Amino acid sequence: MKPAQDKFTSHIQGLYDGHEVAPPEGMKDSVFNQLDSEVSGSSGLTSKAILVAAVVVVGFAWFFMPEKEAVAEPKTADEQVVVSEQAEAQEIQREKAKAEKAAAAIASAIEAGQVDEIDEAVVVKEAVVEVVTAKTESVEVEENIVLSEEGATPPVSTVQKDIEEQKTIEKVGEKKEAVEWVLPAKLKVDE
Amino acid sequence: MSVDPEVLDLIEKCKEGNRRAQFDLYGRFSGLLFAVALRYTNTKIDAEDVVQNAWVKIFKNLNSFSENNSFEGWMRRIVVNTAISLYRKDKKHANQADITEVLATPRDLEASKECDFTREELENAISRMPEGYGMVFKLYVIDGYKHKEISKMLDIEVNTSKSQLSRAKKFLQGVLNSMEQVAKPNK
Repeated sequence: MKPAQDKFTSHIQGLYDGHEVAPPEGMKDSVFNQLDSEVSGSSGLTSKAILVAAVVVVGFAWFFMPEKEAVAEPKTADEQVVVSEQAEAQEIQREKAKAEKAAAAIASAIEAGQVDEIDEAVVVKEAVVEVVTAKTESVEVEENIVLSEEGATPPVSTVQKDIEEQKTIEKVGEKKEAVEWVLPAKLKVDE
Repeated sequence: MSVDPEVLDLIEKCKEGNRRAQFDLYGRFSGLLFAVALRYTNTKIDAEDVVQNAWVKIFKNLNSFSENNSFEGWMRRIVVNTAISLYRKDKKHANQADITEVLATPRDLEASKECDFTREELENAISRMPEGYGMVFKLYVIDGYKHKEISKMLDIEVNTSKSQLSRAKKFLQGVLNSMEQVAKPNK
């Protein structure tokens, strides 16, 4: 089989040995245009891939950055608010208690005529008024102010501690003026 | 098998993207490859498509060519494979495997026909063949592929390739004989 096949095959292969057919004109341009387009297409894909990767990286960075800030900011702000509100409330409560004590002491002092004790109580009370009005305008503060106004009589009597009791009582009618004048003087003393 | 140093130089320049070298390489082998493409396609337009795609593959894959092999054979194979891809796309050519009838052998052809036919006569005879036969015949006889290679290229069994070749030769025998009988009265 081999020899027969070889003869037949070799004859046919001889027919095609070096056989060439000229390609049509324009084939060359078509080949190199396609080559250029495929090469530029692949490089374009590479640049697109790089661009997409960059966008993804930036996207991730952008996605994670605000999340951290968003978590951190409200927490600290809330804590600060809570802490400040709590501290303020506690301070107000303390001052309110002091003011009540002072008011009671003033009232009893007025009744008993103990000027020295009244003087100390008034100092505390005035301090209360200043702290509360500076920090907040809440209802509780207004109550304090009321308390202080009620107890504003003692400053009058403090100023006139060397005067007789009767005159002190008469000065109560002028307490607003006396308070306006006394408070700054007292503040300076406290500082 | 060594490659012509001049061709090797062209190949190296083509790898670097040298357009002039690419033109030179194209000019040197375009006729050969177009002839191969024409052999494995039915029309000139198909051959042009095949050879154009094959050239692009050649230029893009020059780095995979080993200098120990035949450069011409490497390019031929690319053209043939491209043509076979086109052939496979045509579903009409898909299933022509039939190994039940193996009647003719190369010896039959040898006994009945002297090898005095021309290439044109052979091509005329091949063009009348069923495409399945013709493809195996061209791959095996003209381009020298083995049945194992053909079976992989065409995705068929080795025995199917052998069967197709036998039937192709028998068919060719009949066609060439009839052509000879037609030609004799004129002579």
